Amino acid sequence: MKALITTWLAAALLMFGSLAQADLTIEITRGSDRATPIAVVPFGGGDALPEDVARIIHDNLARSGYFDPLERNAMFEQPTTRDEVRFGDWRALDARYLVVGTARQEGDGYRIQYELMDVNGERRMLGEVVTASDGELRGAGHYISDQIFEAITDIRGAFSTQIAYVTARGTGEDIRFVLHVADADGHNSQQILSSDEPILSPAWSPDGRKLAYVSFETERPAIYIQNLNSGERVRATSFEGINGAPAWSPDGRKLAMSLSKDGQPEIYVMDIGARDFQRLTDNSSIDTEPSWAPDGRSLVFTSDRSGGPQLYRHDLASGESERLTFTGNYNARGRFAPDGESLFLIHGGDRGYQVARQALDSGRLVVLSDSSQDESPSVAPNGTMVIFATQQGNRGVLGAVSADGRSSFRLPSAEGDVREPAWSPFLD
Amino acid sequence: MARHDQRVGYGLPTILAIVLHLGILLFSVMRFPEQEEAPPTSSIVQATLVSTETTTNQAQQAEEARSRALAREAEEQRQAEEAERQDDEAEQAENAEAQRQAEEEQQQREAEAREREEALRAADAEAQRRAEQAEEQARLREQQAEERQRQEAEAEAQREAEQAAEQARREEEAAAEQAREAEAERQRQAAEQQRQEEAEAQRQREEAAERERQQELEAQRQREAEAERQRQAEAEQRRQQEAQQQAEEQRQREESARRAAEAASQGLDRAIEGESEDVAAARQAQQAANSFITLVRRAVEQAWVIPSNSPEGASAEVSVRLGPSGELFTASITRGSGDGAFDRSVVQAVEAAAPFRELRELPSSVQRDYRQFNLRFRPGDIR
Repeated sequence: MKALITTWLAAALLMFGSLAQADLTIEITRGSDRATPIAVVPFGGGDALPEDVARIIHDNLARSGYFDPLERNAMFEQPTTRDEVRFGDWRALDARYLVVGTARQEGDGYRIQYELMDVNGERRMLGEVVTASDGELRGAGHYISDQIFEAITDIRGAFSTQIAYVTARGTGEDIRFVLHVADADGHNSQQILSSDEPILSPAWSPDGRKLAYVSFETERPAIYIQNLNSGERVRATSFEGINGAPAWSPDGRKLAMSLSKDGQPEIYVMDIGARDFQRLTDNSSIDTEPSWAPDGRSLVFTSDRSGGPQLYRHDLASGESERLTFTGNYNARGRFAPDGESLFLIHGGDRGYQVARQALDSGRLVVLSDSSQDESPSVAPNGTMVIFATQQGNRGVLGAVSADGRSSFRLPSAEGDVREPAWSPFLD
Repeated sequence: MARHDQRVGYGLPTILAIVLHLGILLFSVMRFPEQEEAPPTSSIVQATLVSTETTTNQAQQAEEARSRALAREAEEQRQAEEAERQDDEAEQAENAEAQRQAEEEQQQREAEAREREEALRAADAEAQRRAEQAEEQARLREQQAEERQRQEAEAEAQREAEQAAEQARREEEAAAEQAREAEAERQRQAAEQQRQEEAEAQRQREEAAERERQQELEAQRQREAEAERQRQAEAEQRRQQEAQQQAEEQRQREESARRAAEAASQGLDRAIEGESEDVAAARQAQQAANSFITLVRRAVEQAWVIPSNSPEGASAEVSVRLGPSGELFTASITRGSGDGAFDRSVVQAVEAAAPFRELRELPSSVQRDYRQFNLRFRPGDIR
């Protein structure tokens, strides 16, 4: 009898234990902050094409700082469709995602088919056929990169955007300034304007169709607005003294700039259609480099009113300016992040002039770049990257750094000094 | 009166006188104890009291005594006169004896009254004297107190003056001492600085060597720590095993005793044997389950790549279902973070960590219970 009771007790204990297990929750508090491993397998048939599309995707993802693409020589196999994929093999390589595809010529253009797969979940996340005309193969690669990037990170990709920059070649009398527009990865560079005199401060219109810039081609500096498709251009301002640092308002109807027509350089806003000017700042110090907040209600600008250059924010409704930067003696060339919550800027400190980011709510400033002669930061439209001019050896080159500082790289570019990069908006 | 007597004869007046005298006698005898007792005792009692009580009381009491005595005197006089009048009325010359007696009594009473008066006066004087004495004493005490206070104040002033002087002297000494110390400190600091500079040079020379040594040490330490960890883990395991074994042995001892007793009467050896195995299995299952949970946690943490743009404080819960051999059936978000990339990363982590083959190491009876559980992802420690 006693034995029977004990047996029942043991049985009840086991049952009770199983009931408790039903609500078992395990806490996971640790993880890795490394970039996500991904494998972009060379596309089947890609060898015959003028561009290696899979390589373009690989490089784009690597430069974003979000991904750590697997090197090709580490791949056991090169499947081109989902049916060929043996997920176990890719799991063994710790690839979380896998991109496979084919690329072939079709008529005058190209037909690219690709699939994005979740290796552990063994499911297809994307599958698409992309056609590209001759000369658009790189663009197709950027487009696919954008799709993959967004599918995994939920952030719109900015690989299909462009950058404008100025190069200076030659010396003395022979010096030549050229304004370029290229793909965001530095390829496909196109010449927009060439001049014996300096070209400065290119700025993209919000629709990505026009560039405003400063040219010294006439007697004195003037701000021009140029249509990129037609090449037509108009001179917006040519006041006596400085005409500089044009910046488009988010609605594309106004241009903020720095003019010294009334004495010291001050910030003005020009209504492009009406061609009238509104002066925003009025003091005895230098105010320049305006940049609009994404909501268009305020601008940041650089001013030396406190001694050294610092960033200030001008509220258009109240007409008041407040100082934003307090870290160090040099903070200039502020540019809003697309979400309006932080500023990218050039911070001068012990290690020279570096690209930094300052959160607007906390005021905390974080240096992003590891170079020391950085200038002219410009933010990608999705806010994940910053492009800037810096020095490599004796010449100016373009650098880029991810917005969290995790990844940085140099952009390939033409010979000569490269300056004044400007990242385009999304180009639809 | 004689005429009257003559008219009525001597018999009746004589009888009447006798009766009167007897009445007077009787009356006086009856009154006497009262008159004699009350006044002296009360006055004496009052006098005694005076000596123990305060002077004001004494005076008042003496006054009271006096007034009471006077009142009594008046009463007695009145009574005496009354008696005399009665005597007169009865028969003036009737009984010389009776008259003399009455007169004697009167004299005696008067003498007594005088005595009392004197006693009262004396009490009065005494009370006065004592009051004066008390007053004098109080004045004296006051004077003494004043004198003492004055002396104390003087002594105090002197003491304070001495203390101030002492304090000043001590402060002077302290200042001198401080100056000496400061000087010594300066010298020491100078020496220290020199020594530090030398030491710094020496330190820098040594630092390179030290760094190398440190690295070696660190490696050594790590090796040792690792060995130690292993040792501890082993020891822990051993301890657990021993504890388990002991418990088991204890239980078995009890069991066998009980079994022996029961076996004698019932012969259920085999049943008991089977039951003890069940309990041991439950315990083992619990241990295995704990190590399975730890293993799942480690594997998932290892596999979790937290997206770089995760919102601060993001957390998500994933419900996990496993197949019979630990393969992942489903991993689904039961509570999302609101961030798609974060949610994907946690599901990926589970998928990358699976399968959890160790499920099969659990006792078959509980395997089923660990085929479903939740994982709560909350990054607190990014590595």
